[in-house]
Amino acid sequence: MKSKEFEVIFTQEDVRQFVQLIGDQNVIYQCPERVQDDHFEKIPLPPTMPMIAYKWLKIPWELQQPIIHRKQKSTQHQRMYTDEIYRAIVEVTEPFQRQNFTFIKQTLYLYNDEGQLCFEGESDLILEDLT
Amino acid sequence: MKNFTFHITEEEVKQYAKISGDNNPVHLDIEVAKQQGFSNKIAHGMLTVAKVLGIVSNEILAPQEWVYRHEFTFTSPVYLGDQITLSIKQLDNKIIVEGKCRKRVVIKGWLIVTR
Repeated sequence: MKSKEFEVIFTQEDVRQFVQLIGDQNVIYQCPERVQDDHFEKIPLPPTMPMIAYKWLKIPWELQQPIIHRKQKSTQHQRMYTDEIYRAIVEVTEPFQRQNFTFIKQTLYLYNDEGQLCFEGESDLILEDLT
Repeated sequence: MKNFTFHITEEEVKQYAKISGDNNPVHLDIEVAKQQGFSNKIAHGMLTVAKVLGIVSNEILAPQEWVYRHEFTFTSPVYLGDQITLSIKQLDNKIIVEGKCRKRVVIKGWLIVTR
């Protein structure tokens, strides 16, 4: 099962809120001047931040409670930045039933506007059902 | 091997739900958490990972270094208010992490760092 594509943009304010919450004090997330000194194009995204793209997506299936997150594998194939347009797709693979639960891998893919894969976040989930 | 500790608070879980849009009630509603067999509300797995990588960023990495890949297994629930003790071992560009809470491993995994 695969979702359709959605456009997502992470703003500087999104990054500010995110690093404030997790306590990451690296100045490259907060100071545009430092970003240029360190030869970054724009403010980069913290490594787990691309996963918040889920909140902007309308996924055509529903994960039934309870939902348990067992494992997370993520790769940022290319450094990602604020104020860039990314295209997001979510895919569910390898569903299987054990006892009364459904086990799935749900993967978020983010591509840049040249179609290059920038982020891949695979979540192993246990849920009541997938509808 | 380096050790660090951190807490996950109720306010952080609420804020992560707002930032991520993950409003699974097991994180926000104690009655739902109890119905699902937990003794309290539990933290989002991704909030725990994000805080772990925040500590790695603050304590281990240079500003230009970044986490290219990470993989974590959530072995036990992290309850709101829990204190997690992290053991961090660096092997070149690979960093191995284990987090314990109440004498149980709650998160374990690794990350790859690049420039």
